[in-house]
Amino acid sequence: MLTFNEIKEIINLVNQSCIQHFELNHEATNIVIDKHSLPSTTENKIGLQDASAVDSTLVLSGESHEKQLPRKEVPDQQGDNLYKIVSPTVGTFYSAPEPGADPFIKINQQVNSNEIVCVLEAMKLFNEVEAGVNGTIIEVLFKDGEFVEYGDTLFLVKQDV
Amino acid sequence: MSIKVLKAGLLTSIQDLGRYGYQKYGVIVSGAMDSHSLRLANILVGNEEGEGVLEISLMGPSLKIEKDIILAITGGDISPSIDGKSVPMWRPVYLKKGSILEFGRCRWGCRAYLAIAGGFDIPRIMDSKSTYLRAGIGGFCGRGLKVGDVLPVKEPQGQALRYLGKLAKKAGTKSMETTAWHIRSSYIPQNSQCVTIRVMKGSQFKHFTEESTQNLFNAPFQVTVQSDRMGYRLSGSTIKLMQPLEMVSEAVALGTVQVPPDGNPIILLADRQSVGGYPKIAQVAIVDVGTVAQTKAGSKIYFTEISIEEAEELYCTREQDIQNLIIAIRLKMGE
Repeated sequence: MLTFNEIKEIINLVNQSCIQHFELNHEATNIVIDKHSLPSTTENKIGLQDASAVDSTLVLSGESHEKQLPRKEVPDQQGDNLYKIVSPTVGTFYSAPEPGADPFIKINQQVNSNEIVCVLEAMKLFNEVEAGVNGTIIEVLFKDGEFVEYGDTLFLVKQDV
Repeated sequence: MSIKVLKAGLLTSIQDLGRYGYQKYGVIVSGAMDSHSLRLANILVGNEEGEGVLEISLMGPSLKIEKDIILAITGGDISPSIDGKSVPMWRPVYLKKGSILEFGRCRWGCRAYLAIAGGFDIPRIMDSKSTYLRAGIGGFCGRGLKVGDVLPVKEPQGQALRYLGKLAKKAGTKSMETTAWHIRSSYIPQNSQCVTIRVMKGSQFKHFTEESTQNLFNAPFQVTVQSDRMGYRLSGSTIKLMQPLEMVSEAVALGTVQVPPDGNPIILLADRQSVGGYPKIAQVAIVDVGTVAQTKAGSKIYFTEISIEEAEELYCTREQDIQNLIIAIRLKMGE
């Protein structure tokens, strides 16, 4: 089982990172740290039970811990039909399937929900991102080769009504 | 479990990483012309990276898939499709039984590699599934595929089986399903009309005239139609020796550039002879052999010189990339 200091170190590391959700299975210990869950809690709630009986569960929540670098500002004022295509992973943003090829989509282009809008490279794999809605691309927030965090808004789409 | 050949294409043969250990008996290595693409195809379907795959040249075959399978196509883009729908390359693809895989226009490169999860159920001859076409050894009956051939496929196991299960589940009733990720394809230059190949000086480099060695690194060479799996014959500025050189035949290697008396260099490739007596002006860096293999007749090649150390570093970097890729794919496929 992990020692108290090890658990404390894990909490601190996750806390200082921009990781939103962290799970660790180590021997009989199961740790889950989720910065999203229990958003109404103002204090950190930490529950730790003995491993032998039940899975040890550690839940750390709260919105004030993230020390993120300033990320792309996304305008919020354009009404309800605006949809954000968010990044499902960390990675490097590419707007085209190959260097030099035409981009998957351009501004003012109509997209279908299952249409690929970009690829994100992580660990040499190129992950395709689908639009997720039918609509028109209003804004592309990243350039080729830029690093994208999990949850970053990649595109703004004016949804079809 | 099998694959039936409905049309043969130009030249499709089973190849793996080659038949090593028998050159001393005069049995050549054979194997994939672009072994990097072969390895990636196998890795994508969860096979051992040296498993036998189909090497498809310029005009592809039509293949009827007689069981639900996972395949991956890498290397040259010969427009693979099913029922007119394009089959994406550089990723695992699930196909339902009864699908007919066809190939069309060669868009770039000239050799595609098709790996099937489980691999082909054919005997290893001298430790290899590669087809040695001239001798009729190995592969499927020692030859390229013909109409009516039925290629037996092994039941996938281990990772290959897990990948199959995962994609089959995602597919549901669809006849084709792929992952939402792929690997990099752009290591092969998009403009394959003109490629630059990195070489080291060959063992007899100093025996060539200064003009010849300058031309080697400055003038383009054209890949001639006499090029095949054994070697690429080039034409361009003539390469001359300072004086005639009588040599005892000695070992040649993959990517050796030898110069016969006519002065037109030959790059030795997968089906190269085991020994040669022509002077060797250069040696292609191993990381660029696949690029040569994807070059069509009529294309131009420029040579650029690098040191042995640089070639080794390129090789090590690529091997490290492959190892990282294996880990990334396993993570992605939920192991």
